[in-house]
Amino acid sequence: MSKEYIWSVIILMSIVTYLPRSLPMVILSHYNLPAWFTRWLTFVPTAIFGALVFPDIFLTDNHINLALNNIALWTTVIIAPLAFKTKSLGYTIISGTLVYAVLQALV
Amino acid sequence: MLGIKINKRVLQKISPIALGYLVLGLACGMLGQKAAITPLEMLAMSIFAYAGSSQFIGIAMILQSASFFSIGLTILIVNLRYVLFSSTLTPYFSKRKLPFLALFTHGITDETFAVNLTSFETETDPYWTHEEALALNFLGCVVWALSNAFGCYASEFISLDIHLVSYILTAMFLGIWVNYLVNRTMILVGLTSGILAVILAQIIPFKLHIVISSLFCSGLACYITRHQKGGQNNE
Repeated sequence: MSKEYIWSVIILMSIVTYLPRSLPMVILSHYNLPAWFTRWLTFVPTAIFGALVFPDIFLTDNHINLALNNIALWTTVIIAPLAFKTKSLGYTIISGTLVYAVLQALV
Repeated sequence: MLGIKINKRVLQKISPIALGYLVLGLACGMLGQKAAITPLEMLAMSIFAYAGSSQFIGIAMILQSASFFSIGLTILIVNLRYVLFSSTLTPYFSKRKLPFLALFTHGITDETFAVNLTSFETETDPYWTHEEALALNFLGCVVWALSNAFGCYASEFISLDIHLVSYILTAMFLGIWVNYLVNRTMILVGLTSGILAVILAQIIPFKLHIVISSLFCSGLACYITRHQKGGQNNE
């Protein structure tokens, strides 16, 4: 891999991650947002994180996997009550890591 | 004007994120080393791109010597959800000038977005400030960049289980998600979007299922609740 290629990719990556982050706020901050728009935005986080978590835990190699060997799924089933109850990012990460490692050793 | 304020609650809020970034960053740096990327290049990539899944995808594509066009387009699509994050945070920054916004928005990730949004909503004594929000983004970026560079440098001496590492990312998403499941409407929207994403993921390329599913489900929820006040508070 040439150095020029890697540095070009780094610059390119920086641009295509920065624009979607900055443009909406830079543009929208000049306007008063309509009520329906802000109400719509209240539903966005729960929808996005649902869409991030579910494929991670239900799909193995892009196919639905409910078998015992899907450790990600069963770890999540085990830690979900704790995560939901505590609403703590730290506890969720730590318990998830521990339970996953234990199941990995067992299965 | 570009103030940054690191205090106890900023450190408390960044610590679980930092823990996740440390492990993910080490893994990402180790992957980078396999693609013949140097620690310095890894540091630059992590400071300026500062994105988890994008960097994993970018490095995988460097390994395949992919074209600039396909790398740029794929990462842009994967990052479309930042458009929604950035829009969602906008009401809290209505009076800030361009230089601050230009700097703050660089640090929007899945995790810093979620923690900042929750803090703006729930921290009232005293209120969560822009300076603390910027500090949170900044500290996340520092931990991410250093662990990437170190993972790249020390990849011969450390070994991480790739499945466990990818589950830590999932656990981070889960730990963030539960904070939004505050009433039945929010739970229903989240579950519906999750199920739809599982279906779409199997038929739609480029990880577009995340944006399509969440746009559709949040839009539908907004439409259904159009006659109710508030939207997120109806129990």
